Amino acid sequence: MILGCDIGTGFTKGVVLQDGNVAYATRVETRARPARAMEAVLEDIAAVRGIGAGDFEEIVVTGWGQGKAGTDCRTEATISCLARAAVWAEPACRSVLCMGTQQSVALSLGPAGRVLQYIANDKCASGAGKFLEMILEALECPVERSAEIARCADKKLPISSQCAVFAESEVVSLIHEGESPANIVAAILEHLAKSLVSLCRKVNLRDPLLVAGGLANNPQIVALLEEGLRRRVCSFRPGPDFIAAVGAALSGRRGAA
Amino acid sequence: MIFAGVDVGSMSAEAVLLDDAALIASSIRVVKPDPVASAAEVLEDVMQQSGVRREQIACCVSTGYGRERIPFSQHDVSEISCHGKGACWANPKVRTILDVGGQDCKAIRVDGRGDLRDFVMNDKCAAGTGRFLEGIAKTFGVHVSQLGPMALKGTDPVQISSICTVFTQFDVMVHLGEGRTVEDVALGVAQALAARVSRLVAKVGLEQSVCVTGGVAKNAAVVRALQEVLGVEVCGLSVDPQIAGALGAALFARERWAAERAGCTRAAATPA
Repeated sequence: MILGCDIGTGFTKGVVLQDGNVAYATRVETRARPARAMEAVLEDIAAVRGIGAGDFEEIVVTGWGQGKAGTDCRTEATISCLARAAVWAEPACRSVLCMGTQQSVALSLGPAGRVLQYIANDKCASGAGKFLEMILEALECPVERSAEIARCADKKLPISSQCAVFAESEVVSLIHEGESPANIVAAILEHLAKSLVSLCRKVNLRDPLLVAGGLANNPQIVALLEEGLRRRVCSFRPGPDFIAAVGAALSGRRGAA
Repeated sequence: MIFAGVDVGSMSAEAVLLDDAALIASSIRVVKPDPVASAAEVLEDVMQQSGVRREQIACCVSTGYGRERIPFSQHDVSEISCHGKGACWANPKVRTILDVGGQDCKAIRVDGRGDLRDFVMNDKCAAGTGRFLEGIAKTFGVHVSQLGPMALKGTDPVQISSICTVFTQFDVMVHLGEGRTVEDVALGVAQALAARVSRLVAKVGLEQSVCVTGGVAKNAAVVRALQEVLGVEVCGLSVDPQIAGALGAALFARERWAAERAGCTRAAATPA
């Protein structure tokens, strides 16, 4: 039994891998305290599944906070985790787009998940999950309802700023001007999808393309990506958020074998 | 003769009244969504302060957001020219002006008369602007004016690795979570902002003396960090650095009025 953990800037994900299958997956908010989030994941696994930290053959940690986990564990590079998990879920997979809270990564893969090329945006919040979170907060719209709300849009609104901070101000003005939340949410999702499409265009994308990360839970984002990239995509199972954690756990299994 | 300058920014609006020799009144206000209302309010402030009536103002120049829509101004001039003009009047040695405003940042070079020679600006990204400090202040739960004094007490600045304002807010939370003091974090933030602004200076070229205008000039830690990163002394101004734009607008009002009176309608010394 291996525990794979992905300490992200938004959430910390834990995956229990048993005989090559995901036996349990959990996520907690990181809240800028990676060691505390790691503890919370272990506490959750102990409480729900009765498995203690000592019961794992290995604990492998990846993601932003991997160096700050505070637990006895091995670390693994995020890019390798993404590639490994992608081909585990979708053996024919040739490209991955992982859309996290503060980082989006596009990878192009060779046979057996060898990373040929990757590009990350971790410099700017435009195109990051955090951007959507900020805007939805200003609109008092729950993240999980954003796609459904956007579907009621009846007008295209322009968002001219690339910068997330300035776009947030634009959204506040749109609210004051009486524009409907549906139209504003739709405009923001489109703005976000545009950034993600241009990120993808920087690598040599090939089918099948797997999408993952928190934003892949949003059906409207997935639809806009398919439209923008003119290709079908598939989502990481079980649950797009867990890709890096699964990849970390898989690297542990390989190491132990 | 009395001249007025009004500068409506993204976060604050300023007005200045000037006579033939000196500055007679100035005011700074938080902006309203409507630039015309903000301009009218802040001009009303300076008229009340000085007892000057509207009909006594010989000429008024507007600058900043919505500058061409201000009904009571006779001319509008870009805020870049105004900051150059105002800063050079407030300290005649000034040749390079770093105007760090609420939503943009400019490096401006002027000649000995305060007229524009060259400039570069960032208005695409909140990094290197007042909005960056506002975001950080929000994370600290303090007013933005408290950041400077807080940072000056810092001794061991944290490294801020992000450029993006949103990501820096997260970095700040991580540093605080690791037990770093608010003073050291605030100092790291001031240095990060200064590093960003200094990249604009590199593009426009630095000619001494250098001064800082705009709201961020009031953050003493940012000014000190700019001195360190640029390797030159940042000189002071005889006026509040936040009113430099409005002061420049009032100076242009005086120049234009004089030029028009002299029958020189081409107003050669006044860029649009």
